[in-house]
Amino acid sequence: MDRNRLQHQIASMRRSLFDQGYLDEQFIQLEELQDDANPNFVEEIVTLFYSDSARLIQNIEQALNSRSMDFSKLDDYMHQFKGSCSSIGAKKVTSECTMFREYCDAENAEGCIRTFQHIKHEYATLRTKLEAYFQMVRQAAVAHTA
Amino acid sequence: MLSSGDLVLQLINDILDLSKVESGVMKLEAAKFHPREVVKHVLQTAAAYLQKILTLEGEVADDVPIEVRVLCTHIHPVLCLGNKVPFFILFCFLELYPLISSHRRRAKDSANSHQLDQVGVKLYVVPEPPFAKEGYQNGSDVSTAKQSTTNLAKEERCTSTSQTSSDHKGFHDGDEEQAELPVTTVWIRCDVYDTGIGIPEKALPTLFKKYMQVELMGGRLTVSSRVNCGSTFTFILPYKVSLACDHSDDTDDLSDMADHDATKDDATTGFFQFQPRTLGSLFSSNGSSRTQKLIPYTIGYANSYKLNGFSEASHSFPMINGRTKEMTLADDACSVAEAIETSSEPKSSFSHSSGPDNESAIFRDKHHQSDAMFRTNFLPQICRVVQAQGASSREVSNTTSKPKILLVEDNKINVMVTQSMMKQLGHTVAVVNNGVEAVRAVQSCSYDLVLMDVYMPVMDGLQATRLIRSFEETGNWDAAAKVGIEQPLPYSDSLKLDCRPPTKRIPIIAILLVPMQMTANAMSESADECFANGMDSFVSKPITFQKLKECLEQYLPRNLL
Repeated sequence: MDRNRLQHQIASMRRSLFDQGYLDEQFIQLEELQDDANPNFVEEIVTLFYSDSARLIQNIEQALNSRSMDFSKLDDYMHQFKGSCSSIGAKKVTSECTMFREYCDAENAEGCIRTFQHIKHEYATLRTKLEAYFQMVRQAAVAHTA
Repeated sequence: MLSSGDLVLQLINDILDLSKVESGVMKLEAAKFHPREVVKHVLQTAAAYLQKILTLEGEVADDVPIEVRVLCTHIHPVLCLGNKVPFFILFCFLELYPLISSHRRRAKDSANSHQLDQVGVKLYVVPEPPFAKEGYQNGSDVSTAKQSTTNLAKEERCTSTSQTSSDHKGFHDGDEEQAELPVTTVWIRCDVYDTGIGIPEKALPTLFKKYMQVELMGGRLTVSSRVNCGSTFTFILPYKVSLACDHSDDTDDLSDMADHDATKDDATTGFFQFQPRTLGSLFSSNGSSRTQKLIPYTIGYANSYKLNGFSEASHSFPMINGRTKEMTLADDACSVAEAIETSSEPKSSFSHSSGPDNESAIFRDKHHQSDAMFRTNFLPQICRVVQAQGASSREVSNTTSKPKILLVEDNKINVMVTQSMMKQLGHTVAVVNNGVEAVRAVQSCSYDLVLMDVYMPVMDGLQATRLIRSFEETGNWDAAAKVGIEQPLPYSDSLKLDCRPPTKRIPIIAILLVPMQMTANAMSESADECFANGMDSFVSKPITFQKLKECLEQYLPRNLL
């Protein structure tokens, strides 16, 4: 049946996200918040994460591009960003954020810039994967009721 | 220095601290009530807070049995107040203490400053009051009970306190008549009084609006006050006493017991006094050493206030949802009679009567639940009454009172996640986004718990915490005003009910982002910084169910969990 196959695919996709280190246990916490009253909670949170953090990414970008890097401000931005990442279980992104903050502490501009590239890469990769994942979940929900 | 309200609310928390109850300091079994122990315990704890300016006295008349069973209707067990006498006493302290404090402040300026105010509690048996008449077989007319002349000899022995209303004392006339029932009903009256400034007459209705929110089961509350003399809060509740013999024998037993030191213990001691600044208490046995100096301003029942010079208001609150008082009491009499098997113990009521197991089991089932519900519903309700906004919204008895939790967090994701988690744990949280808003929220409302993010725009969590603690310590918001946060409305009169400031120390929990590679040292530095600024604990991000749950369990009073 279509539905069963979909669910299999969803399960294996989900498993690989965890196995490959894209997501951690915090994501499971979000899943546990999903119930009949909030059937799309996880997708909503992830969507909110990406829309809310876009502005932070921009701010960090600008701060990194400025002539004199304000490490303290950078750290503030990154602190906020990292908080959000960890709240949705974005494991790889969070870990890159930690690296970034260490470079900030050391006032290592080059390290910051390089790490930020990694952050953006992981941030984008995760988004793609999660978008595919949620699309399948939605399909399965529809198939279920069909 | 906390405000008087703070102290008394802390006092409430202490006295009703369940860990103390469970460790045996005070037995608050749902079914049984030991008046002397309770009074002693309440006063002992209160003394720690109130002793500086007050003499505390407690007195339990001889005719009050050692142990009584609480009379609770099976219809609304949650409203059963019979064993909540200590709570009532505390509640009265809440009312009296600010009055006394202000009286003391004024007295300081006058020549009377050497006089000490007194606060006291008296428990004694009274004849069945008129509002309970219907449920009982004995048709004792209250108006005659007022001038009870029965058992004069007992009265003399019972009490030598110069009570103006001593004529109201006496034994329950129905004892003999109800001998056929396995139990007897005893009406116990509790007076909490002070010798302070008294409550002006015009303020009494306001007070009663507050009391309207207090559900009293099967009993009645009155407040009487004489300006510049003091106030008395009285409530009368029915209790069941399982006894085989009547009271007359019991009193004899008691006096015999009083003569024998070996039997002197909390169960029989009826008089307590706590002088200011003494940590110990002075106990005396029932009888001769009873002090005479206290002149309580107690008034009689709801319908018997004829004494001159008193401004009285007697409002009664026989609030029982969906039932009339009369019916309920009648039901109680039947249901309790059915529930209790006749005790086969030959002892008098003054001995520690432990009924048959069935009895306890029946009560336990009903009241275990009712006790828990009381903790959940009633206690926070009472605390809120003190801070209430007058008669605005009357809380229905079966409304669940939820703890008020404030989340201070600027990150939208974290807010959404935390709120959802809290919702699943059964709590709603108020949310503000920075330290200034947090201070404002705390200024206007009393929270049971604050979860405070540390790094926020406008004002961070550390500073907000410092400001809140400053208020708790000084009683004013000057520190907040200094950084530009407007003051709340002035707290001008203790009887004003609008928007009272918080009255207890709020647990403030930091929400810390802890980097993965943080060393143990670095972690403890962050935590130390939080503690140094007045926070009580922290939870580390990302916030999980488990962390929240542990935090709530640790920092919310158990009655609110």
